[in-house]
Amino acid sequence: MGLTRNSKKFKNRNKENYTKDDKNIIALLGNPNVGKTTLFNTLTGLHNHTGNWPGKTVSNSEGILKTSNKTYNLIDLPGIYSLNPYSEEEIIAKEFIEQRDIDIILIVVDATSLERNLNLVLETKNIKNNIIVCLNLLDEAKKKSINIDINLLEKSLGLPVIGTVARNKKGIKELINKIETFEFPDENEEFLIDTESKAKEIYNKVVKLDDENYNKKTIKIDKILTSRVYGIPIMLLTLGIILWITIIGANYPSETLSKLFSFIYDKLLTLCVNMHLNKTFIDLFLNGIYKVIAWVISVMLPPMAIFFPMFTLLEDLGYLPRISFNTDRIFKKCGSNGRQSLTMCMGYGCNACGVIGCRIINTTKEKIIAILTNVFSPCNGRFPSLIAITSIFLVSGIGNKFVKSITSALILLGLIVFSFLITLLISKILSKVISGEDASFTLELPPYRKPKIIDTIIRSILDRTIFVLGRAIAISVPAGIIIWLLANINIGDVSVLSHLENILAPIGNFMGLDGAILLAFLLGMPANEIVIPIMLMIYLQTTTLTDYSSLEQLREILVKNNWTIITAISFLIFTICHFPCGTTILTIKKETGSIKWTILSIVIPTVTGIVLCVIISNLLRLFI
Amino acid sequence: MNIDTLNNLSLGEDAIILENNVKGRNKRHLTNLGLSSKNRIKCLYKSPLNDPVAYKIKNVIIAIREEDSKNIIIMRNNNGTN
Repeated sequence: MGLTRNSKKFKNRNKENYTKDDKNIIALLGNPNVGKTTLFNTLTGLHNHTGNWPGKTVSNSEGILKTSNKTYNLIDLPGIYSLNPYSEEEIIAKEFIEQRDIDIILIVVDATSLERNLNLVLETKNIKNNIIVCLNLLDEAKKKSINIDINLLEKSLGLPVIGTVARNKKGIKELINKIETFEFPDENEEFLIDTESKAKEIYNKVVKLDDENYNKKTIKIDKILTSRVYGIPIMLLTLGIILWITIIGANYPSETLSKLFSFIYDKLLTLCVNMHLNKTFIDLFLNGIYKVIAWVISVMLPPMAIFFPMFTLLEDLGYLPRISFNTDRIFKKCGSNGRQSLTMCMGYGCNACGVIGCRIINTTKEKIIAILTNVFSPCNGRFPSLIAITSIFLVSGIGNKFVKSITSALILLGLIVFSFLITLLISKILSKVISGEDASFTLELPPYRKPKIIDTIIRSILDRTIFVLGRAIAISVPAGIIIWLLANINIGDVSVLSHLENILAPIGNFMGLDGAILLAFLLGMPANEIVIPIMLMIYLQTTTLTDYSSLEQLREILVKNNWTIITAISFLIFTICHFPCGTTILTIKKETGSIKWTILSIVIPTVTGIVLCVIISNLLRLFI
Repeated sequence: MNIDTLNNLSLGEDAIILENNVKGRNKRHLTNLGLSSKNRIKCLYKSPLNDPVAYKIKNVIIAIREEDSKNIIIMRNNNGTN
């Protein structure tokens, strides 16, 4: 039965409405890493992040495409290689295509690897033929002297083909035009069994290569980046440099913001006093809420705003799969999947994202292990804590500013290596304990693509800053209020806060920490970046300070509260090895669907952290 | 030997895939990536830890572990170096 434009109006919609209303649905399908998400962003204006490694879009995202006469619902599906599904992502995409009521299937195809991409197009055509093919990455094809006869391709496929360069917005107008004027084709083709041979046939007809080995630049670079001698040192060096830039780059904004907040504090205080506001209210507002927010923004935000864009650049470049390639053997020895190194990398950005990213691991056992250990990758919110404490306690006596920054970067690199080793260790233990099959691992190494550097940096800084600011305020306000309440409500003649501190003190001390630090970690569960601010607040209840809010002041407060280098080391270790933040815990519950694993995801890292702190701090006490 | 398993293909060598006997789910995944009979494959470079190895299939670079490549039967291309 042919489907005409009129009959569309009377199609049965699914009972379960995927979208809120009956808008026209366009599904974006394609191999991983072909620019689907870039196209999605270009068409919808949403900022859904694209990274240059296969498997990044792991959850369906939706956006709206408004044209001159219609509004479409755009759904970005996970990248799949074939409709014969192998992984969860492929199953999601396949089911979506088969079951949902879609108006247009927009298949994005990589002009630099057309033969393989055509396979998916032909397989999809077997199921549905309301397809528009978007031939993307034409700029890359041109660079590699790959010539594609688009008209011939259209004829051979029997489907409309529009050439685009999604990231430069080329061909987008033509694409939108095609979408608007799209007519459902008549069903007339036979089921094609050997899609692979047909794909090869069409490829040989429409593609002319000036140079058979057009990937040679990528291969040349890879031979260095994965070489026996240079591969791993380059990896460590790259990471080290990123950390160093983060440390240096965050200094100036941090100081400036600190001074600014100090200035505003004085003005606000004067204002409140002049307005004769209730003293308690002033205390709550200024010493509770305001201080926490000021700390998060001036000390925590700058490193986050700098690290993230650089990490993003690395992703966009395509380097991350090479990290996976270099380290796979180590992961295999620990009974886990090379893809875990990818999810670990995601975890350095944000643990919740890392957990979601574990969908790219196909076997349950290895997926669970990756999820449970993701928290050992110190996320964006924890980096500033690591940097701050390292700067204050571990490098303070050393040389000039430059030497300090290099040393800090090296120590941080050491901490990352430490987190990597702990991940491997716990993964290995878990792999012996959890039952399930071991799966193998195959990874696509995409060609290096020059990212739009300025573009990416600006977009990333803005995205990150806005996100952190939003979260800072949303979480700092309640956190500040709670601490203030705890500090000002008394049981007997001692505040609740002090009581809690005293209860936690024995364990804290045994771990090389103290009650306040542990309490700060507990109260900081919603977001890691408020741990240090909360800790400060607790200390400030009993310590006076004339000026505040900069690393110098932090140092003063800590020293006055009996911090030593052992405290600092234990703090660093516990920062890396403790329960995940609130968002991550919720994500883990959602991804595993199991209370058992969620509880374990809290218990395992915490116990690891406690054990390590106890051992290391007590050992150090013998010598220092 | 002209007919061999993929893991014995040296760096820079070209071959044609004869059979994909990989065990488990990965067999399907490799097929989807282009590892099926009559396709050309070339050995490009190794990881610094010797495993996995990167191969070129259909102009795409794919990393395959030895535990899989030893189950893929290939025939070396003795004419021409590319």
